Amino acid sequence: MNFKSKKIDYSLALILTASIFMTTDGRTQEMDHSTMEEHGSSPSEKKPLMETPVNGEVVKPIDDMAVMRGEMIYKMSCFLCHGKNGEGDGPASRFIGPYSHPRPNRFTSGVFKFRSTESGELPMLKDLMRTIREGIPGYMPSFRNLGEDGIHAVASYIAKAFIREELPTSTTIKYVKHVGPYTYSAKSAWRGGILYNIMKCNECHGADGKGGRTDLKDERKILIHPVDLTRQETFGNGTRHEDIYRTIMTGLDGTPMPGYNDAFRGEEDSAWDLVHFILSLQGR
Amino acid sequence: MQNGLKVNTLTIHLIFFIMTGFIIPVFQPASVEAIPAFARKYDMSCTSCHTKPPRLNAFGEAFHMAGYQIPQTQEGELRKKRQIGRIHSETELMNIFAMRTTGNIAESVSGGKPPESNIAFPREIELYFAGSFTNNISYFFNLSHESRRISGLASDGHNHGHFEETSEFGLGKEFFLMFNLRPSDSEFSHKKMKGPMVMGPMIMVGKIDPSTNFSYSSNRQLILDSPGQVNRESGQMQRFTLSPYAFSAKFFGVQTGEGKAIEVTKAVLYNTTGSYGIDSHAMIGGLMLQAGLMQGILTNGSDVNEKKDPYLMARINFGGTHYFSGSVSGLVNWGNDTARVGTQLVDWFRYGFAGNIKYKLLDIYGAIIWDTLSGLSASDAAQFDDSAMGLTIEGDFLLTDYDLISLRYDHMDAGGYRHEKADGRVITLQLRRYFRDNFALFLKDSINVGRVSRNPLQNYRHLIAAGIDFDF
Repeated sequence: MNFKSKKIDYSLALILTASIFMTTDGRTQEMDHSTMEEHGSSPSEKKPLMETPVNGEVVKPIDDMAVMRGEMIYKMSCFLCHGKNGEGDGPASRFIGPYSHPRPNRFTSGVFKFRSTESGELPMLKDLMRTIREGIPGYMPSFRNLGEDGIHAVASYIAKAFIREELPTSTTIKYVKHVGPYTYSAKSAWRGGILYNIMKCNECHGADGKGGRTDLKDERKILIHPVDLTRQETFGNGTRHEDIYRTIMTGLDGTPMPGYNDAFRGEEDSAWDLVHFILSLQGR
Repeated sequence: MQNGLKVNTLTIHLIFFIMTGFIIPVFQPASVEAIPAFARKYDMSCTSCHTKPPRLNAFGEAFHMAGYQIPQTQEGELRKKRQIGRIHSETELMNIFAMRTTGNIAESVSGGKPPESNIAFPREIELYFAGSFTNNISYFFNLSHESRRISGLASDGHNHGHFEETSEFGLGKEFFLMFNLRPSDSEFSHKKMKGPMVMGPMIMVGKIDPSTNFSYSSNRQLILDSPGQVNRESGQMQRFTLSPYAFSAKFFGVQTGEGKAIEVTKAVLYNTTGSYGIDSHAMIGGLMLQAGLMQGILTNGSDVNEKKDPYLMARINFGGTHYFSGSVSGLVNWGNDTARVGTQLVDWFRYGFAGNIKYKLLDIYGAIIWDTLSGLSASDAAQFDDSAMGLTIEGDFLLTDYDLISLRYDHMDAGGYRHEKADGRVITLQLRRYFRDNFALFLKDSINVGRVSRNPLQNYRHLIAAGIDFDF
């Protein structure tokens, strides 16, 4: 199983591009004005980020005080699932998914499902913070009540103690804002339905989106069920429109879900069609 | 159907046949989902906190010790609460409400006299309301209906063993408030990082089960008690309830302070499943210390001698990596004029140890508890064995995501009146299938591996039961 980004066939891309142009309503011309490219932008030039913390401030850098505080919190709570050494081998970890996915993440492996960076890359600090803040529906509680400083502290400790590499501060993935022509429309969802089949999403998630495949395994060779796209409560990476967009672009490293950033490169706004199709499956 | 409705053996065998041969293979397990109150509130599956409900895993134990809050977060999921000043108000009743229904669909008792077949479902229906009022005040209210409940009857001092079977609705096993005297706060400094991490102290007041913090707690049984049988006309005990022997009373002929008979296998003192009292506990690093006072034994609110039963418990947690965790606990409990033998009030000294090891999907736990009575009258002392011991060891293993196999051994060296006491040795094998995280069918066989006799502790060889454990 290829866990890296997947490129769709060139011919399919042509069909896709043609179909998009045939149904376009001038969105591509506006794209430069409504996209956010984090790569290479300085803090002062930054446009509003989807991934900015709740309070809108730029993420603080890691400092020793934060790491110390993070260690204290981690050793009171997080280690129960993620293990004292960040190996995902905490005493409660096996009971979450005894013989099947999910299991608590092994921070030391460098494989992270929930990122805003390219497939195969480490997450940004704010990605770790988002997961701590939001939790993972069904498996990991929200630690929102730690406050942004507490969340930052835990993320800092994980980065410093277990990942032990410099985390990226930017990504090459373009995040098109969910505004103006990119908001939901029936036409967009219809286009998304075509994309859903062209990009072979149906092979794992099923034609009806309910997750048909039963033979998939994750990188630990553990049985994994494709998400039932008709039930938003099963979306581990978040249920907001932006969360679904990000999941499509980045994929979920360590699982069979590839990132489609390369497939959408230059046509990132089309990913919203796919998002809208998924939303339509949920009646949203 | 309640109160041990007796049906013919053919019907029972038919039910077993249907359950094992038809229902279990036909039903396919559903995906895991969040179910009762805490799971709903935190958007988590049951197995985040439980090995399988109701048994807690390490995360569930930490959640419980922190006063039904995720450690370090106070109230982790405030999105689902309103906050009015320092008071938390739930936005949805279902976030604090849960229900549990358990019982045997079919029972078959064989190898003794007389053979029995019963249907008893639901045996227990429990309603829970649990959560937190503020960052440092939590609550746990439990109402329950129990059928085939065996209660001791008052005796005249010479009659030490009359009981009745009843159905009751009322306060459940636990009903208390918990106060965290040292809630975590948002302020942080280097000073706080020095020394071991401290959680609590917590104070529980109300109807409590102090053993909930023991390495092997009384209330969280995956192998449910098999209800006993009482002769309705004579009040004579026909078969004692089969429950973990370590926690049980163990004395034949002992009575409460009020003079009511105590079932030999009834969990009492520190290991009661719920009694009025006050409890405090705190975690200092991996060490938990617990102390408390309980009302007299099984006195249900009244206390004839107005004395209290103090206890001390220490527990050490270890592990935390390589899928491994464990704990050992030591207990000392003094029942202060808490029981009666004949017409004499007696002291009841209980001490023991418990341990638990969890490795990957294996969970092994057990307790050994000794009991000694003192202060017996001279006439009783000659015919009464004043010491007893109980041992219970259980191992649970998840065979698949949905199948749990359990094996338990119970051993009792009983005390009490020598002419009626008997020892017990029972092995129970159980298979549970979880069709959902909150719904399990089970099939179990409790085998009396000791002597079979007419004694109500020994009068069977096999006690087979099939039943349901459903949480919502």
